[in-house]
Amino acid sequence: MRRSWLLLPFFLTPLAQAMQALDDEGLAEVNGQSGISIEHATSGWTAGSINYNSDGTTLSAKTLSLKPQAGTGTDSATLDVVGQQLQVEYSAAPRELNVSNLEFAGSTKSFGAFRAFFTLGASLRLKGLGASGVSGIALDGSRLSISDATFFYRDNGLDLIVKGVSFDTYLNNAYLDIVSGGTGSEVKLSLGSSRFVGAVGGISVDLAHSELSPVTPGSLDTRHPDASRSFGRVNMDLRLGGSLSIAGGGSTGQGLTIKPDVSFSNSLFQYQDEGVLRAENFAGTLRSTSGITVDLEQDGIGSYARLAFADLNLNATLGGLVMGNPTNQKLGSLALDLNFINDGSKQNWLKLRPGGDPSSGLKGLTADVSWNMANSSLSVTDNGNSMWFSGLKTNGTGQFTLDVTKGCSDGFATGCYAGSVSTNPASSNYDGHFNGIRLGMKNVQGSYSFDGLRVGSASSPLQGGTELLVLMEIFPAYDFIMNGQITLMPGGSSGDGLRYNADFMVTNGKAAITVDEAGKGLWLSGTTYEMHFRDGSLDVTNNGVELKKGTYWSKLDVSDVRWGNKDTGTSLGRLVLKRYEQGSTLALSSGGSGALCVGASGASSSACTANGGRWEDRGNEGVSVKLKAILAKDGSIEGTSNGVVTDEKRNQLIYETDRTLDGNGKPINGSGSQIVVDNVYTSDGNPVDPNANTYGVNADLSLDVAPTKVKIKSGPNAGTQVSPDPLGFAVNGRVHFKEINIDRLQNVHPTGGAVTAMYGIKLQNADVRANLTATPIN
Amino acid sequence: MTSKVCGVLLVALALNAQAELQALNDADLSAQSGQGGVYLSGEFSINKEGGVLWNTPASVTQTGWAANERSCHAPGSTATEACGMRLAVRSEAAGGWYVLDNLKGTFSFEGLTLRTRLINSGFGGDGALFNQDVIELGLPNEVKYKNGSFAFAVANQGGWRNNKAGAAAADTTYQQTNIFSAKLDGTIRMQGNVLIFPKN
Repeated sequence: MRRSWLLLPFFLTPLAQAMQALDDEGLAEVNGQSGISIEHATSGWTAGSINYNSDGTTLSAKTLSLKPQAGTGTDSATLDVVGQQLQVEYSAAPRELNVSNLEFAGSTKSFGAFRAFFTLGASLRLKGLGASGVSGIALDGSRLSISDATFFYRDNGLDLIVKGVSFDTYLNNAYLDIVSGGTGSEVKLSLGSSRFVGAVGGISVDLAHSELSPVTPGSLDTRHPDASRSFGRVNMDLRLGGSLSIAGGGSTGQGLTIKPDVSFSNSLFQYQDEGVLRAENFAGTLRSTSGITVDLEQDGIGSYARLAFADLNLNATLGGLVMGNPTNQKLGSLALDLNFINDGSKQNWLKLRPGGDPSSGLKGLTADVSWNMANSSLSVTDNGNSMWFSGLKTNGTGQFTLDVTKGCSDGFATGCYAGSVSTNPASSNYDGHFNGIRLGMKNVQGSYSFDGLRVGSASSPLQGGTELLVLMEIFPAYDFIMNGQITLMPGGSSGDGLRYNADFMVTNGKAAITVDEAGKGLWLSGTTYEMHFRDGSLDVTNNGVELKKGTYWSKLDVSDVRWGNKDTGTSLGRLVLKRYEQGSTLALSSGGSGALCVGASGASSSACTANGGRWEDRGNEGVSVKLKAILAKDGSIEGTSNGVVTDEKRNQLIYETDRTLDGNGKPINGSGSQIVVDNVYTSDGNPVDPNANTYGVNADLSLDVAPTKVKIKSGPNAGTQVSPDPLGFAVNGRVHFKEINIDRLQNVHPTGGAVTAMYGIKLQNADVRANLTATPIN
Repeated sequence: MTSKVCGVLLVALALNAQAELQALNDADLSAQSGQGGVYLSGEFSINKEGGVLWNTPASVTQTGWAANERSCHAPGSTATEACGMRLAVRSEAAGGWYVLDNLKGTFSFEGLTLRTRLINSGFGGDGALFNQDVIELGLPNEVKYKNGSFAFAVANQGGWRNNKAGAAAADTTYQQTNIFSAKLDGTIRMQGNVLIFPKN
């Protein structure tokens, strides 16, 4: 008996009780009366466990309670009938929900514990007969709200806290209906022209393990120095349409099928740190024809919840994008058309398992993921000119884990993990934890590619130009196996935002520098790429998005630089690039190049033309990217091999050719001839302070979609101008640095060892600009 | 090392380029318009408006320059001039430095193309034998040079220093001798394609 009560959604409980007590005919007779007022005093309830069983697998919420936040609470509801409509005004006393563990029966692992503090309110307008005219309930004019909500998720004694949450849902022209579908019938919520207004005041973590008494939103545990930091605030105001259907039956047997066919229009989404990321006019659809199925299943590893969708389309236009200061220039708009679709063995599903990374205790979340996205695109519109990254496809499989973790270096040792292979966070093989929310990746084997750019319209000819993004390590195509982790900590370099520590290892990578639609190009094949980030941060400031890389070191080892096919093309040899940077940054801001002079100098159209140049105005929208790499000097040599320094933290480039082959025909690294560019570092070139190194190598890129002059390249009209000026992908790049030093250039023979060819190279005072517009070949 | 060099095949930089271009089958090339290749137009410049290390001083009098000032004017000139990029290389452990100094200029063009291409025909029958992918840089017909300059020099230090006693951050031991310097302005015709491919 008690369980059947508890299975009802907590906020509907008192309403359902009230509705049972009234019948519609009786209500109709009291039309015009002042209605009924109900007050319900409650001290809440507790339950040992609540189980959900599907196809023999049981998901269990342990030690569950829902109680008023203060002793006894009083809920009130008034019911009235006005114009053949039942009107219910409901306000609840603030509640606290507790779940001590969410787990699968028979498993020692769990998803963790949950606590939520919230206040519910509802203003319902219910009317019989659905708008479909068959059955159901019209909900027009109803409102549901959650206010003053705080959500705690606890993983091995460490908390993730979502604060200041409020949601209001206004249901206009909405109705709830039972229609045929699924394994028989399904519940369909037609959203009409509903509105969803939501806010999240902050997301933080509490890493001080084992508080003496349970914390509440009003008295949080503030012992850990990072307790007050937050990832930032989110606001949204969504205008919703379409429908959402829920049917019984999963992909097999019992379970659930959810079919979204939701549209949103004229909506607003905003993330706020010091500056904002805002889409002022956000519209689109989220649709799955076959539905998202939810099943509980078991395999050799244990029980899991499986979410799967054979098709899912997300189409969104983020109009009026603002990055940084809302009064600044805008970015233009961004549109996504993402099509997830099953294709043979390439499928879309998630298997959610209890327990996170094996090094992170018994609680947390593990997800085995498989995805396949085909024929998708991303487009950017800048001053009314659009460009499509066309034919975007990606697929892969892998395991992701999510945990709240803690390192052992900040004095709060309980619940920390120092590592087993290495306990030094500054080393490459450190396997301990960092503070924060840890996303682990294990054998994530995937690939992505896009066919190319289309400029002007979605049916324009495909063209290259994505090569110009390689500087930002955005490759036109990439196959990879990835392992590693990224741990995010609330609070940026100042105020809100995030800080991060990460280690990634990409193996069997094949990255294209340039590639055509047939997959032919210049490929970095057989790549291993090891990357380590320490004390990085990401902030949205009034100047845009700023990523500080902190201390960064990496080793990119390309077994073969291939021409043509990524596997069989002729190889140029092996490339190894080691990087060691301290204080490097990447900043994104809105506004592209603006107006500029191509081919000469001049600050105005007339001055530019007078100097023999061409004046191009690329409008006030677009994106600007600033990369600043501060290459650190390796001050001492820790190890050498065959005369070449092997330190992991050093800027070094090795080019090797003529390697001998092993029994499998695979080249043996180190067996060939090498050229080594050793110990590259930047300097401010300041004679007064020779060790100053703050300027770095800077690459400033402005990206626009803009018209340019194009001549016909070949054929009978070769040499004549294309008219009107075609649109292109315009990249205005500037590389500047004060001083780059290279300690030595070595030639290395596999047996003879290293010989120094140059005892120093120094580059000073550089300001190199490339102002290029990419258009299709005519 | 010598047996494994990157082969660069310059197809026709001269007037007889036309004959070779026919062999590349222009009709096919234009029919492939809009394939994965890219047509680039614009400019490439080095220190078009000076560099970032040295500001241009107000006067040519070297003793008055601040620590971050340098002028690269011609000898005898009374007007200061912004400096170009400087590249210095030391070929001996304790030796002097070769210097390519004051390197600057603007190069503008329309129609530099870049694409991958399989050559398996043409070239008087050599193409079929070659049968390999190449990166094709289609040269623009004209490249305009503006305010180009460089100087070749030798120096006893890699970094430039102000050696006039009394100047800010002066190093009077610094010596640099310019062997020659050059200025470039005008138009260069560059026709045909550059094909780049690995060679075993």
